[in-house]
Amino acid sequence: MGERTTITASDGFTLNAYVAKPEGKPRGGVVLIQEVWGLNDWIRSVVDRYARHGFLTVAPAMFDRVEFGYESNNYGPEQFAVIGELMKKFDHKTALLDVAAAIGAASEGGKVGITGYCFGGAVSWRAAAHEGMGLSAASGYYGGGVPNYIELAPRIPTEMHFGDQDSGIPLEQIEALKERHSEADIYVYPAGHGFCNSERPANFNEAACTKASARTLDFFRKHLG
Amino acid sequence: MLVAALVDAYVDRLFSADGEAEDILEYRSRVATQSPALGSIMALCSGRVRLVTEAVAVPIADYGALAVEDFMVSLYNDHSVQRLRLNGSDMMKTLAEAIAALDGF
Repeated sequence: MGERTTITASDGFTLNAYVAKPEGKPRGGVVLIQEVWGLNDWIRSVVDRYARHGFLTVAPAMFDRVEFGYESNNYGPEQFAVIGELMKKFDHKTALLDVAAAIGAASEGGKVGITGYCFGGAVSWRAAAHEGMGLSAASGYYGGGVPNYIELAPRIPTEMHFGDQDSGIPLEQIEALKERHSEADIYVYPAGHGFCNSERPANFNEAACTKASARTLDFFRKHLG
Repeated sequence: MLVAALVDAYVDRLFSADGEAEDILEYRSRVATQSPALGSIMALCSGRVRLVTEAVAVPIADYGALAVEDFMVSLYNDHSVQRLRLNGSDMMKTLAEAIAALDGF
């Protein structure tokens, strides 16, 4: 449904993106932030899904400044070292420029929300706390490292979705986040990490993903249109 | 901690089963000398030492051996993982060595 394209950040860097447009007039725009595997098959399928629900959806290739064109459908441990190297060089400051470029592109659809999974969930939280991004709502999934950003306060309506069996994000960290940020809706599901990635059967939890995804859509309909 | 407590309690059972040992403190001291791992576990259970959580750096070359949860934690925590340490050693390793050492008594 969508197509590969490029977008350009305010510092002149051009990065890859995957964009899907809904049939008819969009009800809003969504920026979808990837996991650490880039704009792979699963992420592109999620972009298409949001478009089917009426949102002009843009997924920026967040690692393009480190390794242009990186994406992988290999979730095995062979990729861990590759991704480790990418993350070593990843710059959170320029990342927000790339997110802003995606927001600009998605704004053709109207008000813009941001969502993302794991790495993308953390970026969603950070973007929600950053002034002037042009976002109207954020809904992030099992943001890896989000508890490290507990000091960041969302400036827009924000919800986060976590699994209560996520040993990478222990429940006590989620509880601390909830206590610190009563302004955000933080949902916990009986699931592990990565519960929405249907390409990873060991992680995928259909019931949790369906419920969380329905909440995100309602959230975006409420705040974007 | 539950497993550590069970190991510690088992040492007392070994003392009870030992027909020659007369003093439990001497027995436990002897056990600790013969097995440093058991000594650490007994010290933990008596409150003389504490478990600490430390961030341990993981070389990227070793990433392929990480469990997926550790991989994720390391990505967002400066390429380090959290490990439980007891007396400077990995707690899980110490516990395994202590359990293995019980057979020798």
